[in-house]
Amino acid sequence: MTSREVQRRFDLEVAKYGVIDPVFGATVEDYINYAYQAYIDEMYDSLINPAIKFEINERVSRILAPLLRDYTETTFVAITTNNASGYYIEWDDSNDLQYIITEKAVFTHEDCNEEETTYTGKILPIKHNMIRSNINNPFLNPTLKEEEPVVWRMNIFSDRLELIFPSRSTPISYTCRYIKKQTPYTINPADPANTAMEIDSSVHGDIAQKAAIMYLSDLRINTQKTETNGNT
Amino acid sequence: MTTTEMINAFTVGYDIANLEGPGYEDDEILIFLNKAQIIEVLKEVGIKRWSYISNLIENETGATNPAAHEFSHSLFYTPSHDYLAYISSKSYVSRSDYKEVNYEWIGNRLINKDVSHKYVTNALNKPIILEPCVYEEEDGTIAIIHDQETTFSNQNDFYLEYVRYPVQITSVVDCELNEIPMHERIVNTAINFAKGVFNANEQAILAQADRIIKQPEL
Repeated sequence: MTSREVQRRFDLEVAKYGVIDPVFGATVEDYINYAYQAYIDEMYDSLINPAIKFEINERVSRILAPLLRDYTETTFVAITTNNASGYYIEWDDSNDLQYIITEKAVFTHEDCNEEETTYTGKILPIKHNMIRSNINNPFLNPTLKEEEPVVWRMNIFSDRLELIFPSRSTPISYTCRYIKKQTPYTINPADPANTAMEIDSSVHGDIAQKAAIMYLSDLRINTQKTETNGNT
Repeated sequence: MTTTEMINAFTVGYDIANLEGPGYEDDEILIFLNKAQIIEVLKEVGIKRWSYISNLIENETGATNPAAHEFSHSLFYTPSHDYLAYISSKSYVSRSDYKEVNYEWIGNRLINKDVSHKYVTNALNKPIILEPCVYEEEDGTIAIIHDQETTFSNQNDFYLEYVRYPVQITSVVDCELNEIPMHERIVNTAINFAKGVFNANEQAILAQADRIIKQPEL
């Protein structure tokens, strides 16, 4: 659906509840963007709606597929605040990282004979407080044990990831597939052909409907507040 | 009824009900009749019953003009007769980009002036107006608001059906309203006005008449 079609769907939804005059355009834009973000979160996060989570079925997978991107970074900056093997990577200028789906890191490790071997490590997202509590635990910390080495990853800043590699390692590359931040919906499209929401078109109507329900809900609350104030 | 017949009917009805009331000259009776005429027309407009005032209904096609105020995508139309009330209208328009239409007559939607700002296109508001919206201006013109995708041809692009003011009843001009049932009603209302001049019990009728004048859509 184009930007205008989504707006029209919003108008029709609120009209069902007696809001016949057009809702102010900038307000429509805001509510559709609220609903847009809420919809993506709901499709991704099983804590919001346990029945729906990312790729639980083909349909949900298709809904978010247009937002998936691949990313590879080869520039690492040492950050030794937490660990001597810590590095961070900074997202490119797009700064569009929203949720990471899958990731891996390639690095070289120098053994005690000073021979280097290249490994592809599995990334384990951890909480910040786990660094201190688990860094010295040989069963949990980033090591080369078993078949697949483990690299820890934490989120730091909106556009930065902190990686902790096994000791005596040098990072080569970090690769991930992620859900990008959606381009906000706008009622002022520069080019109507390019203004459709990026999420799958089959749910554009659902987002407009969700936005209308959010608007009507707020409208009802505001009306009740006005009536209450008027009575006191 | 001719003017003379209406005056006679007024005199008969008034005298029967008000033996002790003041008498009225013909010119004074005409004042009551003209006031009653407007009231009765507004009553019909209020309930949107056009058949009883069909003699006052005008329909015409003309060109819209750019509005003088700063709102974009707005026009106005000036009726050729003395405008009293809106019935319906259509616009000859084309639409581009969204719900495309190549110059067709599209029915307009009447809105109230107090909500017209919601229909005005600007940088923060891009309403979708599939049916151009119209509202009545204080000066008897019709304001038209459309969206950014709509284009008027500016040549006989507006059709308006409306109620015009009735001509004043004078000794040489008869009432032009539909004789049945409007003439009888006008005479009766005029009698009530005349009674209200000196009888306090009739004030309620006058108050009701005033209310109808102020709020004809009740």
